[in-house]
Amino acid sequence: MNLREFLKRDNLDEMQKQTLLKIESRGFWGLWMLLLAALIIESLLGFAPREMAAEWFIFMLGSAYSVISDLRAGIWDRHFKPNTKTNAVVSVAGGAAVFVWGLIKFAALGTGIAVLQAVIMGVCTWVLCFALLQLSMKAYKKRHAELENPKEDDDENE
Amino acid sequence: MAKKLKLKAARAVRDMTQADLAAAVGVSRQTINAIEKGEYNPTINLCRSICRVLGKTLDELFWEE
Repeated sequence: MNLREFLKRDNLDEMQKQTLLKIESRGFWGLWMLLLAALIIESLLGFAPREMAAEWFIFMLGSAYSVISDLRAGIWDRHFKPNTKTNAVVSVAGGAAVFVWGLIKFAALGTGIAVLQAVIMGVCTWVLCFALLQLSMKAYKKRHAELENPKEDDDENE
Repeated sequence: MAKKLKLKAARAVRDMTQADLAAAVGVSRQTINAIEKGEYNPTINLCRSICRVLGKTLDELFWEE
């Protein structure tokens, strides 16, 4: 049996495939969260960026794949609506997380400096998250419109 | 999801076990069991295959009042 035949072979029925997809989805998000936690802990422990480069690269690769695939499929999110208000609120969560991280990371420099650093980083993160979400939302809406209104006439449009 | 009692009854009339029906439509027994218990919503293709094997229409087996 060659590789093509092996990959074509399907031992699962439709319910088993759905179950497998759920398991794989849980596995992906579990690993994603654990990798993020590992990166946060390592950075707080004073690891050099070079020491975290491989994990960071894998984390960003997985995240980018997920975002780009979703956008190409015209999918936004299961729970959140694509609008500016939601993006602003969600970005606050990102900014707050980085603010807390900054407070802990720079605590040794003194409270004043730590708070200042944390505020600057938190605000910058908020701006960056908001800008990225807005850009992604724009791309999502464009793609969603394309998929909903295909240019070529097909049976659905007749 | 409601239990598919009509499916279970139609299978019993034909004297088929869940395993028999599963083999006839090309799925696992656990899938047929999940459909009958209302735990899994089958695709239209699988519904049609089940109807063909049991000699029933989609309405007779899967329509819910």
